[in-house]
Amino acid sequence: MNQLNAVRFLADMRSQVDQSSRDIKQIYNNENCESFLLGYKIEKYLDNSATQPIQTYYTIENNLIDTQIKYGRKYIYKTKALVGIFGSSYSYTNLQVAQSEADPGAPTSEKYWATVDVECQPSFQILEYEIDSHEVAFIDTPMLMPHATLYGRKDKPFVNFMLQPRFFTLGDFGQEDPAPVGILRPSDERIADLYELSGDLRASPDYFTGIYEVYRLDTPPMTKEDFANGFLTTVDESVDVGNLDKNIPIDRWEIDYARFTDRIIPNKKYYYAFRSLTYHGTPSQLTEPIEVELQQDSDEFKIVSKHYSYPQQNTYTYNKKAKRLIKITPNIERLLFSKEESKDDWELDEGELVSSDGSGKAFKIRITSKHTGKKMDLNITFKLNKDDTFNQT
Amino acid sequence: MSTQIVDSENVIRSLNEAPDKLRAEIGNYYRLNPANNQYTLIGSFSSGKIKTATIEDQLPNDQVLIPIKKATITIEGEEHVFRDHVQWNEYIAQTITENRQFLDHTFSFTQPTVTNQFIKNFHHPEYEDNTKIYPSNQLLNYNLISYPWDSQKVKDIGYLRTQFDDQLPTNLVSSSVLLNEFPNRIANYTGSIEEISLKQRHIFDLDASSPIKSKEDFPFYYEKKFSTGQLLPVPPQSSLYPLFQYKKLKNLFQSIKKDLSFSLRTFNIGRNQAQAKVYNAISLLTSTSLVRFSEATDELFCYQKAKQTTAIFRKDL
Repeated sequence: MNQLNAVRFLADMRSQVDQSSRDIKQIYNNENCESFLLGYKIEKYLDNSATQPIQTYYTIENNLIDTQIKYGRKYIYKTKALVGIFGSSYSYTNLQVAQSEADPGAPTSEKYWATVDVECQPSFQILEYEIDSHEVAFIDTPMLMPHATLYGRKDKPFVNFMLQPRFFTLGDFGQEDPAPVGILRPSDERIADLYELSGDLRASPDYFTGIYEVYRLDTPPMTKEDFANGFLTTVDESVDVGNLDKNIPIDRWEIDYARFTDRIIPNKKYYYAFRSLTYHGTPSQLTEPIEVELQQDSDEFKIVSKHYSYPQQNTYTYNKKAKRLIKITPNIERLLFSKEESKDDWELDEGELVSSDGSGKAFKIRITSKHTGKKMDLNITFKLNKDDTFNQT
Repeated sequence: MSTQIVDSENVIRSLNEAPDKLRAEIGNYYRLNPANNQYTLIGSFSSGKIKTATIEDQLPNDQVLIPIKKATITIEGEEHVFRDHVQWNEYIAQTITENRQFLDHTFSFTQPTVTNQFIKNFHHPEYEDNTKIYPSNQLLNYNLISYPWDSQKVKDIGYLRTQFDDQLPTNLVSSSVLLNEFPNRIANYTGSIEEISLKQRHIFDLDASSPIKSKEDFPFYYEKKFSTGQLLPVPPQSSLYPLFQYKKLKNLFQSIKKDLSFSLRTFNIGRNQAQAKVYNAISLLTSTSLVRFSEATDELFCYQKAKQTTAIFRKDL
């Protein structure tokens, strides 16, 4: 049955190819071949496309859905269209050319003639060419930076932090969203690169499971990056409840905030910042730093805290007018015009104020301090602006 | 908008560049117009040495597998251009090259546009962790799970059939069960684990089918959409029709996958040149793979099987 089907198929295909093929006149006139879209070939590569694809899909549908994607890896998809073309291949044979005027086999009465047979064969080809290349990665969506609250107890030298998630993006209020992945430590850069490939770049709580990173510095940070070396610990939204001394087994309870307690040296300033982490460890942006000082007096502790702003890197230009510090008086010959014949007959051109004989274009004036011996050079050039008085003469 | 796609060798700037100089003299080639980057159809490559040219159709050769169209071309030279017959013969020898195949695959094509998106539906911590451990080709494949027709191998691999599933049609297993039981199903898979990866190296989705599972049941997925509509159903007047009618599409796609004798050919697409793989379809369709079809170890075919072959046979009787 298969063979019978194959024969019938070949007969139909033969007829189809014959109908679709062009003759030499159509080829000479650049008429288009018949073509059709056969389907798509989609090659899938892992990490880079220099190797063999890990998977190839051949499909005739108008979409493809892929769920076979590993977390945190880059995939490259190359989509190729498979196009069937009923092209042509032709060749010349049996060439006859006029050898002399009195040629008995001449097909025309013209002096110069030639005839040639041409055979046109269908060239049914499947063309495979790339129409799209796309990279994608699955990285979970980071959270917004956490909200931190701190408190202390006057009888203990501790500072306590309560960390809670923030669920609203600034974008909801018409302002610009912050870049969602916080790049602080070297490993964050890879996550941020892959996250760019995952498409949706808004922060979201979908993958947040209540984990926070705590950073602490004991010197004022100049920039956010200074906190990269100040990682302290991670905390989550759970507490251990129980007392083994009283035979109450320790049990871990989930709560809706994370608590972090830090014992610090009194009367010394510390700088804290926090990030929230998703289930897979994608970090949020770093919070603004909090400056914390535990002040100790005779009988109690007191916490002083405030938001800390990174110092601005300003560039200054210092000016001081020298009008009243130095007075330069020219020699008398410098005050004369170069070609002054009389009061009403004189000329003045560019450069002549500096040097009457044209030996130079600038004055160098060196000032030496009587007290320190320091020297300062003034290089003075003049630009001549002529007003109407020049034209009057 | 359709784009003209032309064999690069058929886009020329002068008569000397023409692969077939006779065609350049009496016919047309393409020239790229620098003003608008559109192809211009011109016949101005003629040198003026040929006075007239006539093309007379001959009877085609039907005694071969693919019929050959024949014609005789007669040309006459301008008398004042040639000194004598020696010069005329030299000119003809330079202009007409015998027994050389000239190719022409000029066609107009609306290039499909592709839109890509990655969708995160929900967070499934355990399965997401498992994706870090298992190879890509062993992860749950929506295309196989949602495939509606009875294909034992597709179902076995898609649902990771275990020995404990024997009493249960696999398509009754929900997506959430598959996600939750994923590592256990891999461990208890009825075949070899390597088979899961190997068979999914080349997947042929050659049926237009409505999926029986929702893609929203999966924690995440990547989707490609092509602007050119679904190819099925194929109308009888389409060139593709015999391939679908006789269910030879799978043979053709398999031959494309296997064929290492493809050639690389350069095409001008708009103002750009692109290299494309070209498979000789006549050669593929006349090979033995047209009759005998068997799935290779690194292939998985999604198409309706026995039913259609029988139906066609009966209809034709």
